[in-house]
Amino acid sequence: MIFLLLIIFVLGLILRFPIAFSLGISCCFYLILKGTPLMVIPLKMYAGIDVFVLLSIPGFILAGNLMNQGGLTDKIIQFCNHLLGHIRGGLAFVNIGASMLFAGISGTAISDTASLGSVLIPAMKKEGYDRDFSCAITAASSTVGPIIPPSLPMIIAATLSGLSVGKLFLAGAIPGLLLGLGLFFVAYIIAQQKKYPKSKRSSINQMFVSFTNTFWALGLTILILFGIIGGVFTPTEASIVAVLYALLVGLFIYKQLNLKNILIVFLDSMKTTASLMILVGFANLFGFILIIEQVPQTLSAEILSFTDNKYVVLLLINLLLIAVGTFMETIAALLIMFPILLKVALAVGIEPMHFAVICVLNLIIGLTTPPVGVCLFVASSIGKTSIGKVSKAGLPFLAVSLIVLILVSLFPELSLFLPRLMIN
Amino acid sequence: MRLLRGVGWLLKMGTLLSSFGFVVTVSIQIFARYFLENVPPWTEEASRILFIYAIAFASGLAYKGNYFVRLDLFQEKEQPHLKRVLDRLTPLATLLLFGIMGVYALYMLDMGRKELSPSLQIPMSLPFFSLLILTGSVCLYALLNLIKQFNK
Repeated sequence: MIFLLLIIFVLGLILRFPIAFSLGISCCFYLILKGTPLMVIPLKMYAGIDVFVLLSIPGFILAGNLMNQGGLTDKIIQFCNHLLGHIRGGLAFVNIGASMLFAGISGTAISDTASLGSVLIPAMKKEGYDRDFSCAITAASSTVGPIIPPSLPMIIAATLSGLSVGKLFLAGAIPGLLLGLGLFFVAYIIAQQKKYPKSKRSSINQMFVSFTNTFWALGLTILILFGIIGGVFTPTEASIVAVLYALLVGLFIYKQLNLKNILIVFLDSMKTTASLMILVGFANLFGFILIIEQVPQTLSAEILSFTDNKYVVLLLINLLLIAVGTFMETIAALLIMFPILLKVALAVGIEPMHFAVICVLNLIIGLTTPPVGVCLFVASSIGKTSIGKVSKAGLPFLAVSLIVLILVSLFPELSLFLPRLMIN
Repeated sequence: MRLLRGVGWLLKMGTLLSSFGFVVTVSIQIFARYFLENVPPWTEEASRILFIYAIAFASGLAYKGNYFVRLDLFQEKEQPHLKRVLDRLTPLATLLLFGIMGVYALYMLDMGRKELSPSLQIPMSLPFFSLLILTGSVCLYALLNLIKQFNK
């Protein structure tokens, strides 16, 4: 019966049904064939989204979109350019640096690729960078976003596991920084080899002026992080404070927001949230069926009968998640895979918080894994080049991302150090 | 057409009012925590209900605006005939799924009339009604999409 559920789900994906609807349709078939009352569908959908912490998702999406509407993307890019532009291959570093800063605001890789890529890919081409390299670095750097706090996948992982959102945000910070630094390193080597251009060093004054323009964006990240970690706000409250902050900054400091674009941003953000929440609702139903069928227990027993070596299990999980992340959007994949694999991870003694970081890291690396990583698609369509060429140019970045993944998998302290520091 | 525009306008207004509503409600909660003696007990429940209503109102608009993520692995390799079939199949399947959900949401609504919410003490049928808006609006835009695909 469970195979039928999975076959219909995969068939729905192949037939181009939205992922959320494929989940819903497969569950519907299962329930009809099993004779379970269909009342379960609306009940589980409602229960799945009636969770207070999930309110932080529209909050963070809204705050990010409000800041972006206020012209923040350009200001972040300018600031990074003043700071890093004088190094050879400076725009590549600007790309990574801007993604790391922007990450604190938007929280999703695909939106980072689209918003930063539309500005940086044409700028890099104009400066003489290879088109494929420009697209590849944009796609690779945007994967830093969903792991650096505030991270939407981490909020979902917290909802699924009952872990603290604040601690999970902290757990992702060091792996996110490592990923960013790894990308900087690879970009530096490629820039030296290909003799990419560098711009004139900015004066301290220019840097300071640019910093003051970007300060408000950095302030938002600091407010969210310290608000949650310091116990001042719950994650949901922090997200709403971020919305109010973004409104005030956009209206009175950047002066680029008005009633019309505020309404557009609210509508757009709620449409994005609705599509995510319907996915969460159907994933809740899907998860309910998997539990009835004892899938996590069965899978855990199967894997443990094959091996109980923690590192072999981690390797298997990593391979599976990268493959899934290549084909599927991060949050959808997380909603489906995380509850199933958590049981296996716990059985071999992996800390749930460490496991959440591994899951998110795998799935975001999948976004730039050939042949079908979603960010590769977005970047290649902005740069008007083939996905094959972008994939090839992105291989060194993929390699460094995999090295970071191996380090994070092997050394739990990289994820657990900051949350433990917070407890102490 | 005027009726459809009216429905679209209602959904947009519903989305905006309920999303502003949950922002204000959570803001009251934060304000009360720091400046009042007690946090009103209803804020968390009210913000959850407003959030669910915002999602319900926005769902149809999200479907219409193609916000739902899908895998487009083989789209470029699809034959025109197959593409036409798939373009019709998606709204049809959506209509069936959300239609079934809508019918059972009616039963849920009936069930909710006898229950009261813990802190606001309102009948649970009121929050459950959001599911009817959600399923109804998605069904409406799926039906329009289906008609459009058949008229192509």
